[in-house]
Amino acid sequence: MRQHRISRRQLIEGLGGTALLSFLGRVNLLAQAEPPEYKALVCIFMSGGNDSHNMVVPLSAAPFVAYKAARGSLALPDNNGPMLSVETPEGTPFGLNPGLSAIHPLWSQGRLAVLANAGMLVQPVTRAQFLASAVPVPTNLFSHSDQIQQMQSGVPSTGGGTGWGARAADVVQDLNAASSFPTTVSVSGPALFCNGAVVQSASLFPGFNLDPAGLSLWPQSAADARRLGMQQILQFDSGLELIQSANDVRRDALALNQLLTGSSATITTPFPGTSLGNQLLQVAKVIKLRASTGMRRQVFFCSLGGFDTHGSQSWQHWNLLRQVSESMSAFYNATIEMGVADRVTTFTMSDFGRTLQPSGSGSDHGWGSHQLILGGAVQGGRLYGQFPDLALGGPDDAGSRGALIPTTAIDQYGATLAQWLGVGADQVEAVFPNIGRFGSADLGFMGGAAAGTRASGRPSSLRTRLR
Amino acid sequence: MRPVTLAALLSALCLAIPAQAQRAPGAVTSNGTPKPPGMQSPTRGGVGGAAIKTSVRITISPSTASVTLNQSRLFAATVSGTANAAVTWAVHAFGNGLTSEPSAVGSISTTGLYSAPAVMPPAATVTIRATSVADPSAFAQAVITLTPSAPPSAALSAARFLEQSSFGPTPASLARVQQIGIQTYLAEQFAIAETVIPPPGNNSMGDLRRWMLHNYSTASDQLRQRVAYALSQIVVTSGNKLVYANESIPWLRILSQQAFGNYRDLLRDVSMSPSMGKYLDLANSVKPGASGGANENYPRELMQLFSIGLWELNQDGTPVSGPTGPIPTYDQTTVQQVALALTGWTYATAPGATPRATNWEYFEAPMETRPGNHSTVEKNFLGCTLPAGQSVQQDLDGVIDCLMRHKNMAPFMATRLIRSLVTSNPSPAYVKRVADVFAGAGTGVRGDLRATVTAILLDPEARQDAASVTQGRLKEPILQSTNLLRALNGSFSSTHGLTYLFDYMAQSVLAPPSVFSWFSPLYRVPGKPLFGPEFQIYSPTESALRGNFLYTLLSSSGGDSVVDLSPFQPYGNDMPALVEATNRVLLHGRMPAALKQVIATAAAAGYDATTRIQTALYLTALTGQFAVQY
Repeated sequence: MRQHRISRRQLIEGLGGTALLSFLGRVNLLAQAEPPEYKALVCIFMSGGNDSHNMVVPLSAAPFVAYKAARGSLALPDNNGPMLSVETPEGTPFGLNPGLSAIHPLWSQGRLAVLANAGMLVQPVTRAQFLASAVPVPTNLFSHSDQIQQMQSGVPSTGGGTGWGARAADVVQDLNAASSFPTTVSVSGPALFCNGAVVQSASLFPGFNLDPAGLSLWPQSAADARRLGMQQILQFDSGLELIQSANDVRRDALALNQLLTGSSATITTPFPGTSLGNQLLQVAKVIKLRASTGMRRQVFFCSLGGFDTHGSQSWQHWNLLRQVSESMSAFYNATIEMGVADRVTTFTMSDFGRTLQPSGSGSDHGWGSHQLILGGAVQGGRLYGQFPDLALGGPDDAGSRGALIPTTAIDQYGATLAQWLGVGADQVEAVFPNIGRFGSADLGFMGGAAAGTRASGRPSSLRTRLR
Repeated sequence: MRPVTLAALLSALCLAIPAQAQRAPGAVTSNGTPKPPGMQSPTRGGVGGAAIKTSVRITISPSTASVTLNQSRLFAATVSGTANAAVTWAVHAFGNGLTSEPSAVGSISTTGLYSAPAVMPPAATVTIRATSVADPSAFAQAVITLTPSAPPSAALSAARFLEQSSFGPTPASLARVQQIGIQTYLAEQFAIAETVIPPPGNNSMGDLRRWMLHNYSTASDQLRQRVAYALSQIVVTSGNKLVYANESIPWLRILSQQAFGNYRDLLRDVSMSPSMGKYLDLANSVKPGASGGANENYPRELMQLFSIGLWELNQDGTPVSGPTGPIPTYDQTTVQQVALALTGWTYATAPGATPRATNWEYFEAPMETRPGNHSTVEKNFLGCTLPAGQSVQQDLDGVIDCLMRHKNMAPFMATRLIRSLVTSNPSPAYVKRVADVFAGAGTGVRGDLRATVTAILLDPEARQDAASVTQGRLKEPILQSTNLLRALNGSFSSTHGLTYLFDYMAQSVLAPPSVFSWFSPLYRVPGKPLFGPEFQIYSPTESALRGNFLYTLLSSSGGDSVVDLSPFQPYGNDMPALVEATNRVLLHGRMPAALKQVIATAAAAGYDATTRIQTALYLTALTGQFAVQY
């Protein structure tokens, strides 16, 4: 299960200081040309519970009246400017939050899609069933920690110990067989989404020099002795689990640093200097290194906090969406710069949606929420899933405050993305164990599962499992 | 016939066995003596009884040896019958009844240096094998008897206790504990006056964050500060939202004042504090009406994170198994009922201001009640009933009392506090012993934090100085850095500019990213079934940043932080003595022999005494042994 890490560690241990160069050299030899069919999924997690009902607003007459009635003082348009108008191919008008202006043009270019009212579900559930507790629902709905964990694990309980992004990577990991670079990479700290049963995740913060300090020392022999010592001190088996694990982490750090600093990873596309901008720039750099790393499939995780808008929501939410859209736009441009726009798909998730009904100047924890999907392979300019009825106490309300029952399961959302990444239709259940309970494992926004699925090259025996 | 010892018999049978004598399992040696179990050669070239002809012979010296845990011993192999004298070394676990990884029985280097494990394996004998490179069918074996380490020293006992009960031992606190004993030292700490937070002159959160690190590294009431620090990760607020110092200080003062008080009082004070009122939106939460519903944020976190948790627990902290798995402690209805009970609070009225139904933010006094905003219906939750018509204060007290009575409270708090102070993976028995004390055993008072902390620190599992395999907890940046500074009689200055580095290391001081604080208490060590909350902020990137930060502390003494390396100066030219001193100060005498050798070699390459001392301390600070409190 930890093969991935062990192979990297053995290289370092076995060969000492020169191992890293050998490691890079080996990978380079194996990957002199552009890896075929490179594909990457990039998750942007809007931490805190994105009020997506103010991210995508129905503008048709009756739904807009229902929207205004439910949202009261939170209803758009507000002081942040007019909504950005988009239309589905069927001619249904929607308004995007003005914070999304940077990616607004990508809708009409067919690169940006919206998935309506997706959320964690155990199985499809109606309002009547929910109110009567007639069918099971995810545990601890409306709780940040649980819903963050469930959205990332793809399992409607807190029992999931692996993330669905990493389980998808587990399935396609064999395509990366030549490389020991981590398949799943979080650029915002360790994330459950990236923890697999097979793949080992790595956390690569943007913008920091990770060279070990204290090596500018005279004479050089003293510096070399320190450097060698840094590797050797990690080799002794203490017999204590936590010490071993702490040493494992530092060993990985030494290896990853060599890899990232040993190659040129320059992106010319300008990125906003925000937290999310820096994260996506780091993702772009790692993608740029794909020839050196020999990667053919990668999964990335970014996040931006602050979406838990219980108060003063209007400007805060606009400002957060502005950061998201400016970063997404820059990142999309960077994929064009690298020639991989149609091989990289960016998508959003969040803890949950929020209540339509305000509480004070904010909103409370809800359930279903809309998501954005962006990339050259996305069949954009469309809205997928079923747009919910926004009436308080209406057919999609889980109660009276507009915590909307999801009309599409996160399983279906993730399965569509995973199949594009290369997970076969027969392997979807290894990633989303409950997928069989929902209508379709392919929502179509990636142009149909067949567009992404590779029939060959999948491992014959999968060790993917839920922990 | 003279009597032979078992060891002599084993060595006679197992050493220098010619390859032609090696047969498949079940075979006998050439003299017809059945081989004892565990000494048969593994299935390999000789399968099926076909002997392999070779004249290569190997002997190992010494043929038997005793090695102390954590120590090492060099073995030599002599090869005859071939010009190629090369051998490969391996540790063989067979015969040891092991099911775990071979590393549990130690490891052997390519040059024959055997390093014993730190922990005694199930069987005390280990077999090592040298195999000819020229003829892989030829090998010899030696038997090692592992002997326990010397009894833990008084210094180790004191140091371990101080790692759990302070921000790390200092030379003075180590001497004090050894002089007066743990019990008396605890009493002394309970009696020391609380360090009072000086409000920063410009109300700057940055100044408060800076001061807090200084305080952790210098305060004399170390136990109170350490417990308050632990509590700050359970009952959480964050400078991300409380952006001025005076917004956080009321909360910090409650944690510090109540660190040895009663948890009921702590929860009650925190619930009414403007800090928490702002952070989790209880301030100005009003009964359902035109402006929306009662705010559910605080009620939810109060139950989930501050008191009873999500799942029904046994007294030993294990989840109760229901027919379909764990049993949730509450549901959304509970949250809504508690939310109604907690309506009607607003910020205190500032001096000179006119009281309003919902006041503006004000942090210099506890929140005030507004009966007009309070839902007076009857509330039912967690088996408790709050009658209709109760006051704002009565309902809040009723909620806190209900939570305090909940059977989860004791095991929940025991687990959280043990993880924060002592070990990430306490045994259920340890949790139960502490939970019993929290529940009132011995004192008759439920929620007594002083008694609970005492029980945590004096428990045999905490005072177990010989490490078990899963013992300990990874130090987070604050503890690892203060541990290093204090060990070297140093501190963070009161004006340092290092706070931003803690942001990078994912432990923003007084500003955790969420109400879950910096790391989840449920996070598991990657790839292992063990809990390791602090590993959640110890990715490769963070470990690199952490290591570099420790180097900064060691090498840039003077402005931001101070360390005193003068005690090491006498050893600047004596590497074994230098490494021993480093071992004593940072690892409390637990450095494995092989590690000593590596560090001595690296340090010896230094140009001058200062460089050599820094190398020894730096490399020691980078070891997993220093990263983990165990």
